[in-house]
Amino acid sequence: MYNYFKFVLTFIFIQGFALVGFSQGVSMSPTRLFFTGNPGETVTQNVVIHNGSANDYIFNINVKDWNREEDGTKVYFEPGILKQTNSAWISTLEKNINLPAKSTQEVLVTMKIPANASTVEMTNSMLFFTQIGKQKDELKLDKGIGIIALFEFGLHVYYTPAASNSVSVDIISIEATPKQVDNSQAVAIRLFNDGSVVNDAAVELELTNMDSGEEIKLTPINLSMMPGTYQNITHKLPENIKGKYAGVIIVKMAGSNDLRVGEKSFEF
Amino acid sequence: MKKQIVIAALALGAFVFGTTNAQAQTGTSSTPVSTAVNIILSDVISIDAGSVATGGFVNFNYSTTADYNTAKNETVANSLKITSSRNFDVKVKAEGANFVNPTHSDVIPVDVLQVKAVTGGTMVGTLNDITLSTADQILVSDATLGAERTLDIDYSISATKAKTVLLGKAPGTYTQNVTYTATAQ
Repeated sequence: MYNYFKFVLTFIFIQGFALVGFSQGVSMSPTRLFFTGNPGETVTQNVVIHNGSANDYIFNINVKDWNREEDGTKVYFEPGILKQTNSAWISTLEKNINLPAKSTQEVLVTMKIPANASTVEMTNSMLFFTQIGKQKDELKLDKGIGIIALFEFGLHVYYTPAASNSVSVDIISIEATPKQVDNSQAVAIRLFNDGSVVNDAAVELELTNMDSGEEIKLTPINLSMMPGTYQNITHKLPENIKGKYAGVIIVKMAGSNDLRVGEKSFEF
Repeated sequence: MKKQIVIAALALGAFVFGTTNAQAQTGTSSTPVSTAVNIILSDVISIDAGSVATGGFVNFNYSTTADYNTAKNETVANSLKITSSRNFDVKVKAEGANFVNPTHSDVIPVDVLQVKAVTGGTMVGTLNDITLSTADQILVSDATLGAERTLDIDYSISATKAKTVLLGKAPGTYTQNVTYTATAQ
């Protein structure tokens, strides 16, 4: 009985502590904004920035273009550079926001969809909330080099034309990659987003040993793709895998019950 | 301690009894009602204030000849502590091309500094080693979502850079802002 109550009291204490701990950072919600509408319309959404810490912060709000390379890496560009940019359509009421300790602010993001915007092509940009260093952030150092570490959030901003709703992805290829010098092996999968909206998908790989029937399910890989883009992902295989395997690739797409399935035999 | 346990037991008993009693009254005096409980989840990403990268400092002190002839490195545990509801990336960039001193014109290029994400924290993803520049560079890619994921960062300046770039500069403190960017995958 004593141990039971000790457990309950400890649990309550830990839960309470964890909740307090979670509230001590600076957070942004959501992490992605999806706007839709017709050319010529103005649409808005809120972003909530919360400062649960004991420090005051100032953030600069700025926007950049970005795209995703085929390995999934995001690359940023100056605004207005890329073909699918919507940087110029985005605005906020203020360029800087003060976020005092223990405070929350809603930032209204406005998108003015140009009258000549495409009715079929998605556009995107990234809105950054960049911490500005303050006067007191000076180094207590006589001689040498000092780094003042600051942080920044990037908020994905997408515009989806009102008529765009096709969620689809195509499996282009499934290949075993050459064995590496450390003997590691992998299966590479190439995908193409042939739909008309951003595709958030989970790519699963299941392998069945053709002799023993042993099944291996690898951890799904999550990805996000703009329409009309390719992405390559690599499932690393367990160490010392050897033999003939039947491989099944399953691509599960968010917002759709549709699946994409690919099959391939391997000899590792 | 025993007294505290008794009090806790009584409080818990009162709570359970009270709840049961309230349900009985509802059931006998009127038609049972149901309440829909909605749990609304939003995507969120946060950087904990405990992170060093929230206005924190990392210093390299060069005051003896030995300093200029050896590689220096500073590993900062829990440099970043991130909570995210989606997989995420961490990029790093310098605000300017040089470390600067407000009192004179000498500058030190930011590429003297190597920034390396090292194992030891709870952040799971592809950890990279980069030479600092004003361009966004990936420090951690496809980090797995989770609460309070910590990242240890190793900062280093090689002996070669110290001898060829730092030596001969006017004495003083050279600083630059380094920004860590967290974005959902």
